[in-house]
Amino acid sequence: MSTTAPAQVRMPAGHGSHRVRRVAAELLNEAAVLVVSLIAASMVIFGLLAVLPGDPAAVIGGMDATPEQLEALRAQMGLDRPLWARYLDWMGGVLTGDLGTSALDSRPVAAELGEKLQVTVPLGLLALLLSVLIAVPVGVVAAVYRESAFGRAIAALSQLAAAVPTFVLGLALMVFVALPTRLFPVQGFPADRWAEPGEALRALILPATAIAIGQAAVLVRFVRSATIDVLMKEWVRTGLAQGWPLRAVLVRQGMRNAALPLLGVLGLEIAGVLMGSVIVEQLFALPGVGGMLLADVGNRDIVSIQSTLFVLTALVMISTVTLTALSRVLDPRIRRTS
Amino acid sequence: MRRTFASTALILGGVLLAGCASSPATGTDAPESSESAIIDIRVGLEPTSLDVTTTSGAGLVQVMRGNVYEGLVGLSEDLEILPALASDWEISDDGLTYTFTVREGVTFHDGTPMTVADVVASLQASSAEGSTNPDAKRMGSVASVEATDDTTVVVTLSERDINFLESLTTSAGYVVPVESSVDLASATNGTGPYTLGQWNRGATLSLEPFADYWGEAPLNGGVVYHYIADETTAASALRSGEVDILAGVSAETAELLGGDAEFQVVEGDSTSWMTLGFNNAVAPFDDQRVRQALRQAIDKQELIEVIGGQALEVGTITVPTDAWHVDATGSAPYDQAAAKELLAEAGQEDLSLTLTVANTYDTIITEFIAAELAEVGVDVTIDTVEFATWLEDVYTNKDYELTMVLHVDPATITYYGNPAYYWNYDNAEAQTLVTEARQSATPEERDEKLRAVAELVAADSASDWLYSPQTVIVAGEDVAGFPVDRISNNFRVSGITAAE
Repeated sequence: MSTTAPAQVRMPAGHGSHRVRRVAAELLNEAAVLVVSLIAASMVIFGLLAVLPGDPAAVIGGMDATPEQLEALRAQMGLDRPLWARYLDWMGGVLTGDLGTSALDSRPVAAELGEKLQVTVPLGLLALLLSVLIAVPVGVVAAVYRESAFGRAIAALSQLAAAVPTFVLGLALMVFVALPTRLFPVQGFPADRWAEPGEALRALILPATAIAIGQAAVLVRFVRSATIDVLMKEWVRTGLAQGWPLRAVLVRQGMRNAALPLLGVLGLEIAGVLMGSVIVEQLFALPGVGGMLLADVGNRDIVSIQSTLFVLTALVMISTVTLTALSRVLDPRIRRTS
Repeated sequence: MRRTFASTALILGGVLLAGCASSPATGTDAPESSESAIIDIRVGLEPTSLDVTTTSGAGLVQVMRGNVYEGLVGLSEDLEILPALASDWEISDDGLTYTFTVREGVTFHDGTPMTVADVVASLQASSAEGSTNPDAKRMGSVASVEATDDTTVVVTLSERDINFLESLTTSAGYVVPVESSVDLASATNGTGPYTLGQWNRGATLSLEPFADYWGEAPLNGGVVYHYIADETTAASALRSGEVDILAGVSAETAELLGGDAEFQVVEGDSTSWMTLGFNNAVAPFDDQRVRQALRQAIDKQELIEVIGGQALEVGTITVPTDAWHVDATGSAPYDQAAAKELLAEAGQEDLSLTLTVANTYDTIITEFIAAELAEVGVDVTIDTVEFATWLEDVYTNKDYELTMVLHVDPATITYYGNPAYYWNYDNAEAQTLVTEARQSATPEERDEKLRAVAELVAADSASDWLYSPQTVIVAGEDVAGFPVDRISNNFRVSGITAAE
């Protein structure tokens, strides 16, 4: 990679170790910010759930519990203890990997969440992958043809796709793809999860596509402008003047230069994908984290909600920070050493 | 050159996408053949836990009752009491002593034989003081439960209870092992024709035939309940053959699927009432004229049309299939002029009320009510809350004015005899009638008393009863043997068959 780095960003020799140290310090700084943010997030989550109306004991006790039974349930669930003690208990558990137990059926939240993440994480990754696979070629084509009606049509179409709600896309895929072809199930996920990977993947394709189309529409605009930037660069013009085919210039030079910022943008997309997954999990009746959260909120399973929200927040924050850091480390303008 | 690049990119993208889309699908469509078909049923509500001894909720009852867990007696679809774990029983003349002959050769799902000790312990636990059994309130009249020999269990009541046998068909009467290594919250250990297969939380729950079942083996190879919240998805799943039966669908879905010869649409009776609850203890609802006025201001026929038509106008808290049914639709006929007069008489011409309602119901219903009441000068604010909040504010703390809820318990009529229930309806006559009904010597006498309760609460406008929804079931044309009535709390699946 270093041999093809543009000459104008080459660093003076002898500053390599200094640069490594600076990158390391920046990463450390990022990590510290991450930890503080996570602690703040945990407090916000805990605080908001503590003031959420609705008594968890009343939900479990049902329509016929006596006041004494409710009191006993509250004590059993630790709801009679002070807020700070409950928070410290919970955080202490989370730090040692114990996410608590569900108030409804006494199942460990970690086990439940692990099961659901086996659906939601592959769904999210598949959606991200599909959105990149759609956005990169479409974006590049839109950039190359930006002056023509074809290019403008692509840009307009991507605007339109970004405006269509995910559940409408999901329904359309169900009615126009799943039903006529019978290649994909309309709903559900194998009960034994990934025992048969083909089956599991088959259940995820349409929901992932529904999320991916919306996300891709946003990415297309990014890829398009990044590619236009590259096309305007002098070294592209130089390459073209030297008789290199445009395709080769774009693939060898342009893609790499556009790909790095793309990593950072993908980090930002993760939260959007997660939002989309809540919707498509509901629509396609997938047993993922989204459905779990909705059910838990309805049942006021507070321990389960706060642990799940915290793990999701941590996942999004960590992957965003990692992707941003990765793009910075990979960027030859920073990484280059003597 | 540009064109070449563009087409390459497009083709490449297309190939990648097509590869993603089609490769996993190959060779996975061959249906597994088995001797008897697995029946796939879409139901709306998922249980929160599987422990029938502590958990309430229609989602759990629908799956477990008579399928996984059984009591000494069972309930047919026509509400007839059938022998189950007791092969026979006798009731003393004073109606206080029930002597059951317990069936021999019954095995729990974990393989241990069922004994009279299990029966006694189960009934003692559910009828004990402070029992957390969701149906414990039905066992209030039980004084003692004892085994007199290896096959006889005697239950003594402190007072007559004409509904006692029916109570034994609910969770309060289920027989579970005295000692069991099975965690009942996530597994099951009953005596029914099915045992739990797999609970894929958030998606499906499967039941498998129990090989050592004492009675007739199920006619199918098992049942999978699919928890699909979205109606459109459910309809698509039926069309694609992923489910065989949709148990309970909206009017729109039924109409959509009904036009297709591939499906059968069957209407069944339910025992449920969409109830407009008045907080009888607070002004102005402590005035019968105000309650009556609100009832007369709402056009029930039009409301039923608005929600799609699959419902009955009732006028009180009974349905035609109840043995104690009375037609009270005339107790508060739609008449907005009369409603205005009543409000004027009560001095309540400028009423502002809050309707607190759980977000589980279609907003079109509450909006219709608010619009109708606005026409008689009552300003209604709709306060939509989550069910958990509703339970706390309205149900437990009784902090509300107007509320709306679907009651599904056939015994709801008897709650008008309980002044502590969330309606705050305190009427000595109703309380006496309900007690007398429970202590009746014959079903006829009970029915007569309950009819009197139904008429009383209608005349008193204790609540308003907006409609009684009917259950609509849609099934594939080759599916047979499924129950249609009261399936939300009595849904036996062992007789269902389908062509593979």
